Amino acid sequence: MSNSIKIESIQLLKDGHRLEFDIIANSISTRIYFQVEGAVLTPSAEAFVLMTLLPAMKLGSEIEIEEAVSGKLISSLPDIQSILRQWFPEEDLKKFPIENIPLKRENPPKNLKSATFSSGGIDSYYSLIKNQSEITDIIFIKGFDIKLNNEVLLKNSLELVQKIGNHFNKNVIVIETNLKLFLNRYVNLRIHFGVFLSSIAHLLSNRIRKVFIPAGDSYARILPHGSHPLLDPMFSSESMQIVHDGCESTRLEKLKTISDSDFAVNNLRVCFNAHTSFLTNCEWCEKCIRTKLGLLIINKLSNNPSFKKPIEIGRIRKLKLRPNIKNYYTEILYELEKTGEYPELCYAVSSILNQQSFIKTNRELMQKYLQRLKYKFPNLYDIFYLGNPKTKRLN
Amino acid sequence: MASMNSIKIENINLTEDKLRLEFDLKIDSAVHPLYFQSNNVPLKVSNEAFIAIAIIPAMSTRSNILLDGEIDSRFSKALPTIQTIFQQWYPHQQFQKFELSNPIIESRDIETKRNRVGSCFSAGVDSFYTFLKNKEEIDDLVFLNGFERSLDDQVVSEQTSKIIHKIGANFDKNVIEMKSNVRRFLSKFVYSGIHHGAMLAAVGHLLSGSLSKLLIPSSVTYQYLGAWGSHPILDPLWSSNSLEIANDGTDAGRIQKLKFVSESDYALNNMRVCSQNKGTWLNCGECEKCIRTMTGLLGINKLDKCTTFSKKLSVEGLKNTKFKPTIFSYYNEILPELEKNESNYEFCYVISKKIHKPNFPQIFKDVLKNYLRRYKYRFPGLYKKLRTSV
Repeated sequence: MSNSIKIESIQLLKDGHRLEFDIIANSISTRIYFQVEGAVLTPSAEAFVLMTLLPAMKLGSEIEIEEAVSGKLISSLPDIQSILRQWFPEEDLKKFPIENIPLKRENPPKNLKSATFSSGGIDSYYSLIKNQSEITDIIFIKGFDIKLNNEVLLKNSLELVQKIGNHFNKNVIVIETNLKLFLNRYVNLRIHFGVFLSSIAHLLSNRIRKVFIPAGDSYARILPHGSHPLLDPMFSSESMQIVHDGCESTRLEKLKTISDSDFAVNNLRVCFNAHTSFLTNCEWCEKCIRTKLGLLIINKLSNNPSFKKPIEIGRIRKLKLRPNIKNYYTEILYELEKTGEYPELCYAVSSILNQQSFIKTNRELMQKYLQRLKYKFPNLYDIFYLGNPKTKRLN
Repeated sequence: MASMNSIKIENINLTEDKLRLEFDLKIDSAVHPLYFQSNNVPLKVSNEAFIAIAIIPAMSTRSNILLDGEIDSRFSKALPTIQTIFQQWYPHQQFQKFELSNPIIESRDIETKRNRVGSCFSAGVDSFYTFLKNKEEIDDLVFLNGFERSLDDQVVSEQTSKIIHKIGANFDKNVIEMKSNVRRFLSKFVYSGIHHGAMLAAVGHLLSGSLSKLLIPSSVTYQYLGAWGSHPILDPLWSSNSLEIANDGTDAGRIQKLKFVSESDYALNNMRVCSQNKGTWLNCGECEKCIRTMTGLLGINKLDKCTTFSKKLSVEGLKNTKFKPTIFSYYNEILPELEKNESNYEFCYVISKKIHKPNFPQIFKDVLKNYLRRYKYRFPGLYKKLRTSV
């Protein structure tokens, strides 16, 4: 491995409310900052390891760190790397050795607080409501779901999170960072989701000892993702417990649970496409449509200030569903059918669920046949292959 | 839904030498006498073990579990999650959650450390991988006789027992041989792919008077995680404050495990992968499991060094082997290794033909169904008629 990734020039400013440092990767230095309100930051070796993990795996570099790192986190690193490599083979991530990282063994601190990440969405409301007797803080991140230059959306979202904090009597921690821009150079958000949130958790370790990361999927439907019930606990240390919370319920079950709280169901933010101060949600994207259908099923859509426009059947029929999203609509269809009241909606949802791509199906069929030819007529296969141009393999 | 049935554990009898535990598991009026027998390590009467055995029958029959005594707090806290996972992973089983009646849950301090570590061991590839990887840490090999194969087949049972003990002696590890009829009982409710994790957890808790940790070798990889009785998410949930249960080996695929294991000549020549073996050979060389392992060994150029298969790998043998879709992922892993050598192309072709085979009747049926489903809501009457005819 040619280069190491290092953290340098660490500065804790403004009485611990601002942390800046350089990450040097591939001889390029990037200044990263975190700015916080509602807590103070702690430069954390565990956070630094997590932030540099994926760039190191992408570049085939080691992580160079002088401070001692939690033994628990270090012992999890081989498994974390195995998981990421197996789940995202297209990223060509490489394992790096961890022998040179100094270890520390901490005693878990007592009397610290618990927090959950919150964006005003269904998953975060569910985790907050479910664990509200334990949770003392909610964490909102500027520069994660919402770009730092989107001032209108940031202002609206922040107002909503402050409202949530006031309503549930929780301290609101607001963190602004440019870390996502750095990580996006190497892998997309879907992959660095978990390490991003966990590194923020570790930076708050002088106040927080346990952080809930709201789950996006249930046990039945979890797919490889940067935040996962297998992965998230591995980002923990002796003094910071990371919990992947909420896999026991499907999206619709979560909606039903949070609907006991009128506040929650009337202050939902599920998308970040609304660019006006008038709308909380854009009400056009697939996520908004999915949520509106869920609210309709539980009779909480009408007069809902978060969703002012009616459901448009024409819009539903134009949706193109990714495979990992189809499961949500299968559940929605089942529940819509049970109501017996919305045959047109059922028809629309059914038609998008059963979209058939003939081109894709035929291509897959051709590929299956051609794969055998690879071994009978290798030279001919080389001429006629229809595989991935990058790998020249079909499987 | 209110539970109408109840499951009770009664007539618990631990012999004086503590090597045999017998008890009755009663589902309403039906009594199922069950036992566990250990060859050398004393067993512990454990409510956690009883619950691990009873959980699937309880969920299948919509029963409560009636139990006296304490239940470990960590175990008790994880039970709702375990049940949720079973419900979500196997919706066709229509499992119902149960409640523990009269639980006495104590938050125990962690007991005096018993520092022995056991690893479930059947001399297969996964077992050997976990054992060799963690050899320094492991004290005991836990062999469950009557787990993969019925105890009724005494010849195979004794032969397997001898092999495992021989392996234990070679590596200077104690072998805990457990016999039980619980597998046959649980198979009345679900197939072993669902219940085997619970059963291994039960054994761990029965041995928790000696063991502080039990490793369960994984048969899946992170890449191909799916609903399975032993799983990296599920296995640790069976742990208690005094017994850590860990799923091990998910980081490596079949080929990686074979490469690792075959570095040990002893392991290579004492592997037992076969579920059909009869006679004196470790492996029959004919069943799908043997074929799968032999092709993997061929791919890593170790087949000629392995003497445990009674038959040679042949293209004809491969052609005659039936591949279930559930094991296609293994062959997808093996193919890239096999094709590195052009002399293996005949094998590659046969494998490819089996696993890369489009099922045209199914495809046609799916396409037709997809179109018909839409009309369920436009023309419900017509849909019903058409559906019965397709």
